[in-house]
Amino acid sequence: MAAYANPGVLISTAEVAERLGDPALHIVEVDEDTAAYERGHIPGAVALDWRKDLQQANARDVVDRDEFARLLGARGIGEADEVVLYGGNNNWFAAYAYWYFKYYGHRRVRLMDGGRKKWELEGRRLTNDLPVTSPVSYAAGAPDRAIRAFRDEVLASLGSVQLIDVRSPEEFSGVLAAPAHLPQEQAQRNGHIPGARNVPWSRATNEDGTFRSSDELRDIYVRGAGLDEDASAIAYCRIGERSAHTWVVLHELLGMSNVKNYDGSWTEYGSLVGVPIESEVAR
Amino acid sequence: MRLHGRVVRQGAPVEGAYVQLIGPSGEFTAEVRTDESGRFLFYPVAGHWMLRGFLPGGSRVEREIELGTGQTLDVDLGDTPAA
Repeated sequence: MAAYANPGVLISTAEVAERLGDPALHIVEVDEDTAAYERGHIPGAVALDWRKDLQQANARDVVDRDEFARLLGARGIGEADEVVLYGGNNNWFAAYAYWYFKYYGHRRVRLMDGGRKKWELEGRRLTNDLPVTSPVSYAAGAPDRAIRAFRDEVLASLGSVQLIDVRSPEEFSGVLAAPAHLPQEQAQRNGHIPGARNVPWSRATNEDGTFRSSDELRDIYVRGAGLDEDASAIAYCRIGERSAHTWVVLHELLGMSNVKNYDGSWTEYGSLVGVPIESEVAR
Repeated sequence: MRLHGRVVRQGAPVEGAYVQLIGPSGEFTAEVRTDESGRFLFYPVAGHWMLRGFLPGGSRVEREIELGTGQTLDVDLGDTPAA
């Protein structure tokens, strides 16, 4: 069986459990449900709130380089430190944070394979104790534009770059506007970007939330969905977190060199005036 | 449309179970964790769905659901109460 292109990207729940208390390991929880951390978290873990910490207050955008540095430094994390990210919903937002850390050049970042679900279902210890951290100085790198796509690039790429819509088939077809566990009230059109192929993020995971093997992933994305590994690709979803999960699969685990996450995703594209969309639902 | 439910073991609600909504083609569509009352909630479209629950301790339960247009269903997922 072929190994992942970057096997160090993932760390197992068992290995994290063995390393609890290791001062060199910084564990960070990032959840869709921002209250999950307060209900109990991995001992020693700090939290990043994807809404409050990872989004600008007065613009829809990631925080800037200085703010990212302040955010991590305040949690006692230095730019050379080893960070393990985990979260709920099969690591959706942990994968988003992983992509975000890479965007600002953090090298030693890993994802706990299976995320919070696997840790909980294995009956591993959670705590409500808050870790004591000492602020440090963090030097963030310049944003890596090679892994982030913006709307103008997406529009200019129609027909020439592989677009992967990683939402559910119901969202792709336009029947639903959001994942089926979220309320469906939305203002924008439903559907998908013309030419996108639908490869739901969930195909990349096993039932326990871990990533499938390298061979299985290649079967799904290359042989199944027809993705050309040597060509450029852009992944998108609704708000950019599920597509970050697929970005981890394509860029980090399969080693595709030119993959971007379009974090504006469908909530941006589907609300743009005058751009083409495709939908399988009659209006 | 709403699909409410409750995960039960021996008739008692189970907090911290993970419930997946599986589409007609077998596609894993959404997943939620049950609350302190064992409850979960989805907003699917009408059709045939499978609910698959993973309970703390390793057991797994499944149930097929037919959701009609405009319908709200409230279902139990799990084993039956002890006799």
